[in-house]
Amino acid sequence: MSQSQKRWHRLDNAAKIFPASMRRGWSNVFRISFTLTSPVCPEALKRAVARIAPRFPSVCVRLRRGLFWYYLEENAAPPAVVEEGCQPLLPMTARDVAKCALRVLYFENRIAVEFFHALTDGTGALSFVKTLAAAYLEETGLPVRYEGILSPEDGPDPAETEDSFLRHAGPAADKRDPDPAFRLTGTPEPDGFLHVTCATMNAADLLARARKEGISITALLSAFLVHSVAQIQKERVSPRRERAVRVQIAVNLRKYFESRSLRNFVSVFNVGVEKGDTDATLAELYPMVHHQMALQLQPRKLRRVFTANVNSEKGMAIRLVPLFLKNLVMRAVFDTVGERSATLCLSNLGVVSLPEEMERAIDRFDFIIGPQAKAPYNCAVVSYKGRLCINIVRNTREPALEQRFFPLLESEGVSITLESNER
Amino acid sequence: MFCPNCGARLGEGEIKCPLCAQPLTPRDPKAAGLYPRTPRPRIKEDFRGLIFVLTLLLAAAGGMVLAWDLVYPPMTFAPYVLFGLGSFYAAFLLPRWWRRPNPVIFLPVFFAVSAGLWWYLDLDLGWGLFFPLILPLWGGIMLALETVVTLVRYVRGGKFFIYGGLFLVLAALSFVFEVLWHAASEESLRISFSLLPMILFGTLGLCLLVVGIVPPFRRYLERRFFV
Repeated sequence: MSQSQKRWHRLDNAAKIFPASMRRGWSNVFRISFTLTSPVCPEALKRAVARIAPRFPSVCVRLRRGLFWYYLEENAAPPAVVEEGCQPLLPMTARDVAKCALRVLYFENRIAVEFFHALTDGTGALSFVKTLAAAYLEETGLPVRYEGILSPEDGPDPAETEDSFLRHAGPAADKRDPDPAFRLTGTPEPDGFLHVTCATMNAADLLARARKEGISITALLSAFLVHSVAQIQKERVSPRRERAVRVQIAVNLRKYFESRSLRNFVSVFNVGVEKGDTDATLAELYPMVHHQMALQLQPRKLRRVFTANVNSEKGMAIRLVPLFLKNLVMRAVFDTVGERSATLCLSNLGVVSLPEEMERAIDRFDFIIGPQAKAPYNCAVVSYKGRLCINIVRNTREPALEQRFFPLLESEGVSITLESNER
Repeated sequence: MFCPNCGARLGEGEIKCPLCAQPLTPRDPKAAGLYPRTPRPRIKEDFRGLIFVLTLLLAAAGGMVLAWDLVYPPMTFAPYVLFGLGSFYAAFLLPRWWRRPNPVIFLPVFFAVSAGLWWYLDLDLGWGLFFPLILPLWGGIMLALETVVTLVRYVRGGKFFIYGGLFLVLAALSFVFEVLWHAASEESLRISFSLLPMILFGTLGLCLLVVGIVPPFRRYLERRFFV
């Protein structure tokens, strides 16, 4: 592909903050991986990646700087396939994303793709990973039906590269909530090591527990997280200095607005308890979180939230400011407002379903999101073949949240098995 | 398998309980664990090209000023510039030639070069205070900081005692400075301008020592001020 033929895309509305907020030792990266029943063949994986790369022109890209905005440019070569050498989710440096803004990794039976968040969200990434899995299995000689999976043989669809935020933005916008939430702290790992603790459980058990309370799995896990964090706050902070405890929940907007985009089309909202109510019991938390979610998950409410971001991007004064000044302002806003309204983020990718022949070859799916820039924790959930995986990451030494959250799951009747990368 | 300490149900390849850090013997030694356990590679950042260019620029600036003073004597301006640039270079650029510069080595280098600046200032202005006043005081500050830097680098823990001790030494140095000042100006000994820094540094130092000695007080402060 010649230099002039390379396609390029503007960053979508949600993606604009990610390049501006990246720094040495931190960037907003997430990862989806699948574990096969047999060891990975690197050559077949390379062929599969090369085959599917042209199908995803908005994913197999690099990040470039323009005079006024960053933009994504299609890569001439497919992403490199590398053996996983150490911890997951190593931060992507500016130099890394300028070459390729995603990584394809393999380790024993597992294939993982790590995405810089400016490219896509969890749903878009899952579409990419499903197609990669199907193409890989085909390369190893397994016939695959592309049911519910994008076929690499089809050409890229322009609807998949649109910025759906702009199409669905409304006339009215919501104000953002600047009230700060409690922050978990700990001793930073000197070498930046990222602890990953994965709890696997029977999804039906957890669903049954949630249905008993008349709430969703996401609401149940949010209530458990809020309760665990509130207990930590009670131990560490005097009542006079306590703060709200909130969990930020990522919501896939494609469920509420028509969109086939593979780029970011995700919004976030907070659920939790405000200052003064942090001693709420679990029985009190279930309906609180459930009703907070119900209130936020109204299409009109969601539209008002992302319209605020779209409006700030559309202002002529902002558009005319050079990129380096925009970066300074956006980073300052991100540092002071961006993460402070919630203690940690919970992202539930939902149930991954594959054609039967692929399910026989793939044992497990994992979804991990990197820690926040100034807070050590984050939590991601995915369900596959009746097993649900909760991955909690942290970049501090003390497993304070894990010590409360996982035993809480057990005490609520959900049997879990823990795996980790403890060293 | 189960953790023998906290009872958590764990994967077969675990070598340490993720909840209580209990070391474990994996039931299946071949199980690799979730992720490779090799350490994270260090990100190589090489600024030596930039430092080389900056070194050349500083050398050129110093050389031009020196040449100017040699062509148009008497030499007055060049030593200020050379010692000033030298101090800046020793403090900010010289350590950057190494990937992991050791401050225990570079701190005395900076103090030695900057002492030269003080010495020339004293000579040029004819104070006559370098040996009786400036050198003992500058040397005392350097010794105190060097001790702190060495202890912080090579001793684990005891930070409250180290920094508390530094503040107490600074309080003592402000007293020594006043004594030497009066001795150099042949005045009678009295305590005047050193009183305020003595009280300030002394109080800070004693507070840090108390916080270090009384752990419950330290925990109370951590809870209270969210350290």
